[in-house]
This record gives sequence, structure tokens and C-alpha cells, in this order.
Amino acid sequence: MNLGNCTHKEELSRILARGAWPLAASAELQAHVAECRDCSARLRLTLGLRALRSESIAAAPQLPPGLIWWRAQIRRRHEAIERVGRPLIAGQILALAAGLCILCIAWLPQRHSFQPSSFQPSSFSIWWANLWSAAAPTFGPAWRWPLIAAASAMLVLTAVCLLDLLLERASNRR
Amino acid sequence: MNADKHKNEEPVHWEIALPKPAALEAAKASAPSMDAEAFAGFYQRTARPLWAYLARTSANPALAEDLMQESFVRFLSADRLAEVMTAGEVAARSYLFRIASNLLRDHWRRPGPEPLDAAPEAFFADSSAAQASDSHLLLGPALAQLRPRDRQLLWLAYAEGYSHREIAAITGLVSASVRLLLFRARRKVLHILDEAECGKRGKSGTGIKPSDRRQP
Repeated sequence: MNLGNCTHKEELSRILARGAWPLAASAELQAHVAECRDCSARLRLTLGLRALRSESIAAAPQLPPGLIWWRAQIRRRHEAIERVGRPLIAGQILALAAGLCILCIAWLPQRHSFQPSSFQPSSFSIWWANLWSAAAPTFGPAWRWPLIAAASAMLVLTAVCLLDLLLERASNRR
Repeated sequence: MNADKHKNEEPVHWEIALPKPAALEAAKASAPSMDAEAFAGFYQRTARPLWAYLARTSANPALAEDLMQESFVRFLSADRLAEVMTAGEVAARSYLFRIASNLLRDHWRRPGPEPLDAAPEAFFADSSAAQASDSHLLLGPALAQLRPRDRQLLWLAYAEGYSHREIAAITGLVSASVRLLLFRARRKVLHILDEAECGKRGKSGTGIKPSDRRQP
């Protein structure tokens, strides 16, 4: 398949690139273009499309550059702040994972006695009492309340992280 | 000895001992590599040709305006803006056209309803249209009959004057593919133009058919 490799192609391309057709073209080149299908097609398309380009440029809307400049500034700032926030999100996820691990560790010894079908509010108090008594020999009575406070804080933090992630996803979707 | 060692050191004030807010540091790092005045000049030189490219390729002037704005915003927000500006305005313009081409491609890939006011050729006509050649008048409608990719390649090659390598960089195609696709697009549009001119001359009953022209 011939992809248009006329010997005068380069010369014609150079003259057209300078916008100097037909003034800078020799009589020989002009005569060749009149007869060569490839060169005449190239000339026809280049002149035609450049005329269309001039038309389109004349019809282009006038927008103030300052507006675009400030939009770009705001976008760069938002992207920078998002980049800074990524470690915080990672920390939240880590806190959530730690909270879930603690819950699993607390639940695992009790799992053999847990029957989902027979769950009642009183079962929870029995579970809590078992957990309390299991922790007592390990930590001693003086550590019970700080341990309770730490576990409660971890649970609250886990809930807050979960809520924050859900809200962020909802806002990103919007 | 230790006293002499510390004698020449500057005292550390408590303000600088505190860590600066990370957001402020990041904001400073995000300052653009191009000032507003330089951008205004670049914008004046490139905005209209970019709009012309987008409008003619997408056949949708409203979309072209949106994409043009987004292209400039992304251009200014790009991390490699400093590197591009160092390479010169030609490289910056090529990079801008590349961003615009990527936005066009994303638009084509996104499924959506066809706009009601697509391909309004009358939008581009101006008062000097009467002085234009017949071929020029037929070329606009002929372009509208091509696929968007063909319009894109023809515009970049003939209207903007980019080389095959530059077109490959802008569109993301391989250079050898650009040559082949451009050849096919050129053949298609010339075929459409020839048919249109034949039809026109057939009505008037005069003129030599383009297919009668001698081949090398």
C-alpha cells in the first residue's frame, strides 16, 4: 500500500509549514502539485483546514485567564491538603483495626458459650461478668477501672473512625 | 571545650522548635511554577487554537469550552509543569494539547446522551465565508462525517502542523499507527470531498471530475 511517499513531499511540507504557498514555491513545484494526486491532496487539506482553523479561532469564546488561574490555585491547594490528610486516614484505619482486634480477643474465649439463636440481653451481662472475672487475675483489682476506661475509649474511637469514613465516602460520591 | 562548641551556635527560639502545620508546608510546596502574568500571556496565545481543535474534533462548541477550561486548570495543576515550561513554549503547547486530547478521549469513553446542538456548522461560519473557496466550504461538513479520531488526526496534522511523532505524543498512539491512521483519514475525507464536488458540479453541469486528475 502506497502511503504517499512523493519525492516533493518534504519541500511542499516545508513551504506549507511556513505559510508561504504559493509565493515561495517554484514553478516546477507548482506544476508538479497540479499533477500529483498526493501533493494536491496534501495542499488541499492543509489550506482548507487552516482556513477552518482561522474561522474557529475567530469564533472562539473570550474567557478571562484570571478565573482559570484561581481555579487551578484552589485545586492545587485541595490536592495538597488531601495528600497531607492521607496519613491521618491511615491512622484512623489502624485505630479501627486495633479496636476490632481487641473486641475479637475479648470475644474469642467466650465463643464456645455464645449461641446466636438464644441471645438475650441477660446473656450480654453474663458475658461481661465472665470477661471481668477472666481479666481480674491477670491485671489485678487496681487496673480494672483504667482498663475499662481504655477499652471504652478504644470502642468510642472505633465508632468515630467508622462514622468518619462513612461520611467521607458519602461526600466523595456526591 | 563544650562551652566553646556551643558558643557560636545560634539560640533556638521556642517558635521554630514547634512543628509547622503540615498543611501550610504542603500549600507552599503546591505553589505553581508559572506566575499569573506568564500564564495570561500563554493563555492568550493558546486558548483559541485549543478551543478550535476541541470544537472541530468533538463537533460540540459547548463541550469544547468546558474541556478547554479543564485543560488549562489541569495544565496549571500538573506536577511536571516546571519541567514542561523549562522545555519551552512549543513543548508546553504540545503538553496542553495532550491534556485536551486525554479529556476528549475520556469524554468519548463515558456513556451519555447525544447533545441536541452537536455539529452546528453555522456556529463557525463568519462573514468572510463568501470569499472562501468551494473546497473550504465543503471541508467543514466533510469533517463532520468522519469519526472523531479521524477528525482529531487530520486537525493535528494539517491545521496545527504537528509531525507524526508529535501527534503520537499528543494522542498516545504509536508513531507508525499515526501514519497509517492519518493516511486512511485523509483518503476518507478526500473521498467525501470528491463526492460532494461531483454532486455540486453535476448540478451545474460543468467542470472536470477530480478522479480525472493525473496520478504520478
